[in-house]
Amino acid sequence: MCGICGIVAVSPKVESSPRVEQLWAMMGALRHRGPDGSGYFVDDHAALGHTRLAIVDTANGEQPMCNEDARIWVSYNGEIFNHVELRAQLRDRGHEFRTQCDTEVIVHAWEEWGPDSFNRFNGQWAIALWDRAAENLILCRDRYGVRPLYYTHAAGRFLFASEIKALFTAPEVSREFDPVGLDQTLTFWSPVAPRTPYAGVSQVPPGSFLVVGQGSEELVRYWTPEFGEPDRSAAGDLDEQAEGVRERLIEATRLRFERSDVPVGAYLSGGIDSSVTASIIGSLTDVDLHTFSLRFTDKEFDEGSYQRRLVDRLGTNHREIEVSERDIAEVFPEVVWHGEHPLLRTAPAPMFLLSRLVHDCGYKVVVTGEGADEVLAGYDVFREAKVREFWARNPDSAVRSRAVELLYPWMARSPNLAPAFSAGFFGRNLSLNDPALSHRPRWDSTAGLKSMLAEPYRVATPSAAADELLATMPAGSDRWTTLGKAQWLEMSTLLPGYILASQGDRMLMANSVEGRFPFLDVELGRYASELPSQHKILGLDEKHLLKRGFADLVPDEIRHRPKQPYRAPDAASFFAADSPDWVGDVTSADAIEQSGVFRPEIVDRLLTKVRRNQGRGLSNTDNMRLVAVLSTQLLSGQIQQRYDAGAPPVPCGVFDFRTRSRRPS
Amino acid sequence: MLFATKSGGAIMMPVQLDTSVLAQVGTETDDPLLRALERAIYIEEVLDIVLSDEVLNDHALGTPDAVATLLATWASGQGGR
Repeated sequence: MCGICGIVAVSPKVESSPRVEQLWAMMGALRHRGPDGSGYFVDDHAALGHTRLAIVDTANGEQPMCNEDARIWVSYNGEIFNHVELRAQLRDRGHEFRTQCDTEVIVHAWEEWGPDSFNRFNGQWAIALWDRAAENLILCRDRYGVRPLYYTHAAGRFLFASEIKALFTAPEVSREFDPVGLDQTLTFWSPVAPRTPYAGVSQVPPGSFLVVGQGSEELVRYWTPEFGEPDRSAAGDLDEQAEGVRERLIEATRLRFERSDVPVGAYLSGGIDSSVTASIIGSLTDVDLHTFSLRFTDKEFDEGSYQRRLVDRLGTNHREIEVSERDIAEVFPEVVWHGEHPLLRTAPAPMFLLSRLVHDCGYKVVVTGEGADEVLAGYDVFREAKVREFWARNPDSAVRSRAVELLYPWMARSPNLAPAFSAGFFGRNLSLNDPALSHRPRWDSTAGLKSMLAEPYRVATPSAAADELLATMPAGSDRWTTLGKAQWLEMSTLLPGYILASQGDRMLMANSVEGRFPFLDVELGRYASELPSQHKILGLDEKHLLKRGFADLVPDEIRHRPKQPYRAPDAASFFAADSPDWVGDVTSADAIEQSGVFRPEIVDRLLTKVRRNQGRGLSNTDNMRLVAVLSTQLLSGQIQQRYDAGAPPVPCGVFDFRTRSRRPS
Repeated sequence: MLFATKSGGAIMMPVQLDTSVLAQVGTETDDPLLRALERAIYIEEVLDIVLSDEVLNDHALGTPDAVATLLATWASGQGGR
């Protein structure tokens, strides 16, 4: 896992040759992504930079790397897990290799197959390819958006980088929030690619590549999640399908554990997803498995008893970190700095602390369970979709609304409250023709968040974010099942924008740790997308095929425990008696006015409410409003001030490919 | 009326319902009505039908045998439209 960046001259009218000093500054901003070394390539038109976290073929593999005739250059962040198989195919076709790195496979694959290479890769990547002959830059991201890739334009140059902070090292790049990006963030928890929270800064969408030439840019989608039409005549056998999931997940996990030249650890949350991947390694191999867990001092969020059950069963070498509200408040500014996006939850903060533990234990790679909920249908929103569809088939029914009580146990225990809540929240806009039947109640309930925005950042049409997203759904998606549509929406919003980014890549890479995600394996994903909806969620039993397929490896207490979404203390973290000074600083009337993002009177009312009970007992919406204000205010200050303080540190061990010589820093 | 097709057209038996699978649906709740509703969700997904309120209860959907009887009634044309 690494950091990549680059500069390409795209305007013949101005002096726009890439400046090495600028590239170095960008590389310096990405040092945490690649502390093991760095390198750059530069010619008259392009410069590629790289900071390396050495994981595969650690002795070799400096980047940027080129093909046999030095025509194709690559700077790459990620892993191609099937590089061994691809290397064999490319050797058969006459390609010569100098290293055992997956990086080298990329340049030869591009020579041999061109853009079709991306369809052959099984992995997680952000790739920059510079074709010297064609004078084209190709930027590509993996299917699900595991690895980030941003770009912008400044003074006749095209700039790209793994993180936005590297782009902001260029003084010409604007550092303003984008109203549409903010609106999307408050609706979906993240902007939808190619948008970002910042005006003028874009990201390559997952499953896409961008071709940048002289005065031209072409964005090509090489992959998008696809789901089948309902085919009830061929629903198939539950046990066979569970076995199919099992086989593919075991292989996906094996690939991610074996294809590394440094030890690989595993996260263990106490939920079924990480329990399955850890159990595959712990039970089916003889490796000395090291596991890492997050604990909370607040028992409401703690899953320690489930983690311990699996640790005892597998006999892993286990480490854990216990996180308090105070810990979250203390690291939150750093979390926001690394995350670069406004947040609605503090949940990334404990993940930052967990990856720090992994780093401190000498590990660079962990396998985690992210992606299981999207690929195998685990989220509550999917169950809600089934209930809303059931209700929408006969909205006048006297009993269908009661199915809402199946979703959340507290509803069944609150007979007086449940009917009113279900009618008010889950019963709104019940239309079988709505492609967002699943998500509409949640999206519609974000008005309270958006009402905080000051006029320059308010979007005229309240439904703009949803409308723009739904307009991008693939042709033929109207024939997908309701669950298929809901999965597509999750895979287009929360997964790449928040789960894999704010809470994933950024929190891992902040401490130079690579995450690997077996549930996002291409073969598993392909198989799962073709499974019948009624089996992925059997009745309302989410991830049923996963639970069924691993009944022998995962204890019943974990397989059948009520789903507990990963969460951390929110407002209460910031308003205890010993809250850190920065909280008062960023929420002062002057700070709110200076950033200009929020309406001062609304923030003032929110803060009064929050302080009344030291952040406790707040509604879900108020918790999100508070975290949104804190994170956005922090960002506003960070992007305006931090880069003015001086240039980032110069990377060490720079390799200048123009002279083919190693240069000291 | 016990059933209607979603399209409102003629009723045809599209597939057999696997009652052994149905028996695994709704086992997490002790509430008879909620269990019946979860089973109804599954039945409607599999058979592409809309059940009337008349049969959304534990008596009609509480056991696989009861569901089988209901479907047999439907298949014989006694309960559909």
